[in-house]
Amino acid sequence: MNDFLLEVLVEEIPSRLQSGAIKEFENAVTSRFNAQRISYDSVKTFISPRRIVFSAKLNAKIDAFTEEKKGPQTTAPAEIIEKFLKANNISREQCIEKTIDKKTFVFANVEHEAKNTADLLGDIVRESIAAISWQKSMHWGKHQFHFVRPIRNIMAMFGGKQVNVTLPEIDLKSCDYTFGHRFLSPQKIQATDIDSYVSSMRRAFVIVSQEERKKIILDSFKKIENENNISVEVTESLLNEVVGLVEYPVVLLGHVPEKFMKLPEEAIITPMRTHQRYFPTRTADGKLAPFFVFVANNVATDKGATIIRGNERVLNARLADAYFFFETDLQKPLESHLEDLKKITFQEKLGTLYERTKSLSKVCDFVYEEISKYNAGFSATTAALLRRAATLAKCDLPTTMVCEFTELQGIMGGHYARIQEENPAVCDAIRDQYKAADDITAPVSALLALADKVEIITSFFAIGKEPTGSKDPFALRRAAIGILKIIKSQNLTIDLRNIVQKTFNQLTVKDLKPDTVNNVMLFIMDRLKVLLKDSGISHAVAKAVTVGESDILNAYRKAETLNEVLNSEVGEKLVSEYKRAKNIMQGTSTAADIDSALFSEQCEIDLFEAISTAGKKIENLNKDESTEACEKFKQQLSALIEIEPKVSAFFEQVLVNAEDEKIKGNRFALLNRLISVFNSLKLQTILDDLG
Amino acid sequence: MNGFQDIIFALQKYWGDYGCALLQPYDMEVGAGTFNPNTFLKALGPKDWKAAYVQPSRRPADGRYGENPNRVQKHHQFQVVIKPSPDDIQDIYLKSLEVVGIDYKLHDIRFVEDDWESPTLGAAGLGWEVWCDGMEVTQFTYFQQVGGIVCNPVTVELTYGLERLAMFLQSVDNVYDLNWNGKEDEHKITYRDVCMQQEVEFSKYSFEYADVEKLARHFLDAETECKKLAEAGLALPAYDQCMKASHLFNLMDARGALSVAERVDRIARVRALAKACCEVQVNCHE
Repeated sequence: MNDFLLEVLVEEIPSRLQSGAIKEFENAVTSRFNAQRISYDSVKTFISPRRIVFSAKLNAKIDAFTEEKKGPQTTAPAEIIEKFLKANNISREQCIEKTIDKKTFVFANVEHEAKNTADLLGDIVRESIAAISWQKSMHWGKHQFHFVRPIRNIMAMFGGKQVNVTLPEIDLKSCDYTFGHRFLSPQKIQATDIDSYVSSMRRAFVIVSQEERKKIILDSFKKIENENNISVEVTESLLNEVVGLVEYPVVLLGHVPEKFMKLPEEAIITPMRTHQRYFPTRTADGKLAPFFVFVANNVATDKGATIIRGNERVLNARLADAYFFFETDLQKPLESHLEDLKKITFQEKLGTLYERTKSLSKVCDFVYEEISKYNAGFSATTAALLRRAATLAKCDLPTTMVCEFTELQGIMGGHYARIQEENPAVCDAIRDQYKAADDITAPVSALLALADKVEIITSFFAIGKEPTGSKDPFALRRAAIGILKIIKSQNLTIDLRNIVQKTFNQLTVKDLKPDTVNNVMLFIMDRLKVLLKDSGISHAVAKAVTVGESDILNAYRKAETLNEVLNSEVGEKLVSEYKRAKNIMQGTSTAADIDSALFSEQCEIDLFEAISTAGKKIENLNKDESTEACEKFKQQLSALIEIEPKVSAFFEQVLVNAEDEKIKGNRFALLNRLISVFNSLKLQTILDDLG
Repeated sequence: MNGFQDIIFALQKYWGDYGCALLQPYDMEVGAGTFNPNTFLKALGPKDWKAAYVQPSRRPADGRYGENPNRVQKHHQFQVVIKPSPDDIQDIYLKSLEVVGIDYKLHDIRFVEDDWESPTLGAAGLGWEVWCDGMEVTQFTYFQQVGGIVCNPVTVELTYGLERLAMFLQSVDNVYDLNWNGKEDEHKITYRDVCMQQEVEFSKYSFEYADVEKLARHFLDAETECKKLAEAGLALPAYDQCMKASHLFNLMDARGALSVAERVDRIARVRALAKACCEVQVNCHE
């Protein structure tokens, strides 16, 4: 096998697109190898900000072979067969016939000549380059060709020789060289196989492997951690982004002036991470350390002193801004910003943020009313804290800090509230309101977030701004999922419909959409179905437990119980027996009552008794007020399960379609009773769906 | 070479030698060098174009009464446009940084993804922020669309933020401390000497004195005039009115006079004007 080496040199490819692109490119090339019957081995791919690299070992020759091509059926119209013959340059006599699944087809044996791999590579490369589907692409110069950024060079080698690749759309021809690091080694570099390429590039200050660049960065972090007794806070997404921003990573350490360390952590970390791509660091006790770590792309002759100084100055300027904002914001009590909220439009129809705050406060009251009905542990104190949190929730939005760093919404509010000595639960609730539902644990936080999400979904639905298709500009789906997750994690028994209804009733907007409450509930229940399915619950069960339900917790529990029963051996049997009964009863009408005198077999009597017992149990439980809904359902299900052996025995020993019409009618009546017991548990939708 | 003006001289010399027509700033208020018709309208059509110029750019909302060391309501951009974009434009650009005194042995240059979009101009491009030691010194953009019209050939636009670049080169943390004329001691003229008064007074104007009703009226006048001139096939005079409307919008916005909906509406109106001007330019001149 011979070495094939390809490097496409591109102006800086956005980091976030690199990993997807290299996978796609590899697939594009190898699928073409397969289509052309080129045997390949040891595929290696790499991507750097400027390079897309593919290498493999390939057979130099593609052997001649005979391809058996399937044509139309022998009974097909003559012109279709003719077309097939023509396309394959073969006569009808040369064809063979083969029968597959009782149908006879025309087959042609097409001869393929032996080929040289080298002759095919040019086209394969050209097509594969064009096959990468970039999220955003561009054209440049006078060309129409689209790519993520301009392509500047193609080095393509096979078996030590240059492969000719032409991209006529951009007037580019391949060559047998590339270039090293933009500043450290810009001269031409040649290679014929991947190993020599990788090592030549390393000497030219380019680490082509993204994994190796990542390792170098992480190793350097370790070293810095040990030398300075700090830990570098690595987020995977930032690390991957940085790996895609440099060809020769050089990790450097900068200092943060002590005075800025008084800022809330997030106000220091945000500019570091999102604006500058720096990594924050922590001391042994977990506090933010006055350092930052960053990755440069250059080995400077002064060991990076100038680069560090420059980066420190940039960060200092940003932190100085943040410091100024922070001090400014602290001049005013958080609550005083309620006035400013009157000037900020939340949504044209829904009015200002002040109006939204008022609405949110009311919804918080509704949530508390509902919660306190069924859940112990929520006291009047909770209600007061919740109300306070709702009042202050949006007050940080007009602060200068949040205006500048919008991603700090909630977080700054939490800090300001804490500094102004609000109750800690209130501060946490303000901070937590925008968090992912999974990360919210404190009760007041959870209730505020719940109310906030109910309020936003209901009000947007009320003005006809519900999500459509893939469009969900206000992230209402996410909000709905948040509601469900909070209810589950907080273990809240509530009637969600009641809260939505009350929320809707207090809206002061004109032209409210009718049916909003129903639509909101359907929307939330649709999300619940998705959540249930994601947790391994079958579609049928998810559908059944969500229909008409507004006690989310009950739906969750019911789903789990049902799923367990239906997946058990006895459950599966029972389902198939129910189906059998349904099939038998299809199209028959029995008005007749069960007449025990007509039972001729013991198993009939057994089944009748079992059904009656189960039916009574289920009925009694329905009347029972003291048992909790879900527990009730569980007991009813087990009553049903208990009759399974009798049903099974009945089907084994008895022919339902007896010759005697009376006996037959009586057996129909018995099966009918069986089905109606199932139906009394509202299981029909599930059972029908399971078919 | 160290003064603010010396950086301009160096860039002018470099791009003039490269073959760009060195132009003077456009004589109207613009929000960015891109608004200048020598970029915006020249990016349309098939004709080659190479130009470089300084463009003082006004962003009323960035006014800080001269108190913020990093932000001013009128800053200076050095703008280079070349159509079609040359194959070696990155290298040519990097040499220009060397010319103003950036030594690649000591500094870290990075091309960080930044897709540019101007909602008011209906224009979009792909490219990067160029970082020098973490500081954005240039916006590097391949125009893809202008006024809703696909660019072909593609213009490359290099926008150097002169204040930032100068602060970087002079190692200065406060923009007002920049040495403007490169002289020392009593001969030194600083950015403060040149720009402080305008920063203070225009901040007052933008945030306190600008008469919103009058601005709205002027906006309407400019809009009407632009449409009329566009219908008459006068691309440049029509476009002057479009730039006026855009600046008036910026003033109203800085004054906090626009609701969210109104803001969206006015942006759409300016964009419609820009689009009309581009269509006239393409139909009548290219």
